[in-house]
Amino acid sequence: MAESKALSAEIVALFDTIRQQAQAYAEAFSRVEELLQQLQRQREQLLTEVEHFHQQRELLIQQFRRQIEETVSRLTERVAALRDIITRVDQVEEMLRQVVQLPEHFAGQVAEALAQAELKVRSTEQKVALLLRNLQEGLQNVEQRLHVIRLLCQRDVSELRQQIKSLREELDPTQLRQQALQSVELRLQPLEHQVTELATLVVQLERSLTERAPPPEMPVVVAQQEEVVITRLRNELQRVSGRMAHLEKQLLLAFLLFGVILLGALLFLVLKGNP
Amino acid sequence: MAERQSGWLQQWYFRRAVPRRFYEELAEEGILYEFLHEHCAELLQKDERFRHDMYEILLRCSPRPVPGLERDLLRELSEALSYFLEYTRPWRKAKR
Repeated sequence: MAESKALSAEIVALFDTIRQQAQAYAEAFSRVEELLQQLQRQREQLLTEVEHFHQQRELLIQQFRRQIEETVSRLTERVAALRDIITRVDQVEEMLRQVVQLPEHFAGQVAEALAQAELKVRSTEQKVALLLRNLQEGLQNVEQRLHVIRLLCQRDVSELRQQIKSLREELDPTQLRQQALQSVELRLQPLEHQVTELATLVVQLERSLTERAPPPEMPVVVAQQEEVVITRLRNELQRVSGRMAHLEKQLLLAFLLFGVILLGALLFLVLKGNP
Repeated sequence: MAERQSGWLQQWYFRRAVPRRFYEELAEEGILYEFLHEHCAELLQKDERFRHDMYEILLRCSPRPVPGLERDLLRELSEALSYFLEYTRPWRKAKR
């Protein structure tokens, strides 16, 4: 077009200017296209990153939510534990208050229990002393009766000897034998009665000792003291029982001796009556 | 340089490689533009390819300036620039 003669120079210059501007525009448009493509690529990259960020955000949100739920549950458990601890602390404080008040109450109870125990110990000691006195009196009675029985036996033996002597001199041996037997039977009956009374007295004493058991609701100290007392009483009872057995043995020996003497007298009479 | 080579090649092509037509002879005589508007006005108006072919012959073979051709080319240039301005209006508005 530059070499064309169909256009005037002004028109050709105008077209050249416009061509140059069009080329500049084309270059600018190509640059804009490149920039647009670059922006498109950046946009796609940004969209990818945004999608990645969205995914990370969702993951982080889920993770944070999970952590928050765990933290909240942990805090809830700790709050419950704290409430429990506070309740227990209140209970402990209440118990401490009661413990602080306890010595006075306990001192009063102890003093009252000691007074009751002293009273019971004194009453028990009095009962034991009374029982021991009764036992001693019973033993003295038994000894006195035994002594009386012994004296009676000696007297009867002496009387029998005298009667035997007189009978030997005066009466017939058969009558003498019958009279002697009757008199012996008559004298043995009160002795038998006295022995029976002694046996019943011993049984009553044993029962009275066994019925002195401590009550179950007594305090420990009083129960121990009463147990000691009961042990002493049992020892005393055993001692009394031994003494009673000894007395029974002596009584048996006395009876045996009396029987032997009686048999000897009878044999003597029989042998003397049948020369 | 490339433009000069393409102009020389085009001149050689139309003078030696292809046969001459009578439109080129009319253009060398300086009466092609009047001939076209007098006998081929409808074809020139409707057929764009023919019109551009005739413009090329006028530009290449006319020995003196043709005011009508200049007016037509300026009108087409004005239409193209109007289209360009209309096409680039959103960017220009955004830039403002």
